[in-house]
Amino acid sequence: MAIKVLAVDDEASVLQLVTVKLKKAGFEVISARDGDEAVTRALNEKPNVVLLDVMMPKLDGFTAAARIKAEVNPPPLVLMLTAKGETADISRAFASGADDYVTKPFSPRELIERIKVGLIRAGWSPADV
Amino acid sequence: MGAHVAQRGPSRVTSFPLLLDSLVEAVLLVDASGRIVRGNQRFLQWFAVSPARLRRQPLDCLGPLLSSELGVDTWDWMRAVLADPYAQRTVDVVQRLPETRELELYSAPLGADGAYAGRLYLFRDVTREREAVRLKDQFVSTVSHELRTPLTAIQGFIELILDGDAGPINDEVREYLGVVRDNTERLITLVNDLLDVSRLEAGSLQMPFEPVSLTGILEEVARTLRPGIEAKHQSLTLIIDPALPPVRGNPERLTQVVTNLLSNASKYTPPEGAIAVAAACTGAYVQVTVRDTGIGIAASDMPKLFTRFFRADHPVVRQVGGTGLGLFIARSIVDLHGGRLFAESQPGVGSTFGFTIPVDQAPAGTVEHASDIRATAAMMGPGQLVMPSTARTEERCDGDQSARGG
Repeated sequence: MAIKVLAVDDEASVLQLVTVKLKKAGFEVISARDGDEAVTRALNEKPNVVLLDVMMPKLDGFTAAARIKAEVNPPPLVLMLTAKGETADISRAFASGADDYVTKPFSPRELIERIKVGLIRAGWSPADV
Repeated sequence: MGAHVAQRGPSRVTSFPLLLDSLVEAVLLVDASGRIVRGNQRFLQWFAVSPARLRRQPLDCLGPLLSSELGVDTWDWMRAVLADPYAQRTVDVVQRLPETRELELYSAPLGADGAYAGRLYLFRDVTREREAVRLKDQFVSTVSHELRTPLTAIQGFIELILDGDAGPINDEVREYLGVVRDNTERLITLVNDLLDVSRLEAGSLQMPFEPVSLTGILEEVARTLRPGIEAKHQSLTLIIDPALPPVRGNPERLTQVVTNLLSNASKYTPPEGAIAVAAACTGAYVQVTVRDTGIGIAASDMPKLFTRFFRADHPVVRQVGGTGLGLFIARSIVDLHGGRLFAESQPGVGSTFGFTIPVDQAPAGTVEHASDIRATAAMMGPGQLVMPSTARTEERCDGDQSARGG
């Protein structure tokens, strides 16, 4: 069974980039364009991984991360896509319950590696990721 | 400042209140015994007090008023400087009532021929200045965010294609995409550097300090840059004192400084050259040096080395892409740490860049007053910030201090 990833970004080009790379890497991908939609889809479809942009309309990434971690059972692995590595942003990401972050512009290859490492750390077998 | 005016002949004295009342700043004068001599018109207006309430009254009678409008901290600050005949300081203050104002409060002793005659308090309204700085910072942040989003897509899709995710590509396409990728990286560096410069100038660079191992940072940066250095057939050696104590700093920003110095060393050193990184403790500081056998820097360029957008007029420098912001940012970061960035060079022989960072102090009892740090910052201006001397306590290294000195 493929690992399901929910990718969330309000920028179509970034969402397309992430979606293409995840599919090439063998993940099943669903997507959302804002924080509200992200929470709804996460609750309904219980993804294993959620990639969340920080600056989004309706509900920002930090708030969405906190709600997803609190309300989705079992809680998925959450990675934030932040703007440049501002320490305050990074602290806020972890405070919201995120497991990891990558800063924009990010390397798609590195993003995949971070997802895999995160899944293994969360107890997945390396053979499955 | 006002001291000389106050101490001269009678005709000057009669015009003195007029002069004070014409100022855009609010002024309060106190004599050596702590009694109020005068508040100018602006002071009476801003703090809504009558002249009768001030005349010959002790400064303490303004305590309740100033504590409620400017905060207890500011009032304590005003009393503390009154007790010190030599204190000449500046502090940022926010007045809440009767209307919100951002003020810069400056205080200096008044006196002639070394006699302490009293004290000046001068409140300058900096509300508009501060707002302008905030708007500029916000503008730059927004612009750089808006630039970063398309750059994320451009850089990501180039990597995707180069990684073969979209199928095989021929060598010519690979070469051209490599050029696009390199230039995209340049653009990203420029956006990041401009954002850093803007924040340094606005004083809004976020840089929380913690105990940091420079050994870890040096090894990490060397690991990251080593492939590129070896690709140029340059040698890279690290000589790090095994007993290096932790410093007090921000790990991301210190990593940025080390990365800048080491990548510069590689960029401006010909193939087969040698780069040596050393770290040792010198008293209350850890000193890091990066030495190369590169093109060097002309003596006439040395004074301009750390200024914004400076690029030496040298064929290699023109060939190597760069913004001229890296060393300016590095020096500002080191300054904000209370350290010093320095350079020595001999054209055609090589350069040594180095910096010092204060050793992390024992947590015992030394509390840094944020207002003191701000006060120093306001006086020194951005990029010139030095930590107050109280922040450098007697925490020193275990090693031989006598030989190296401080």
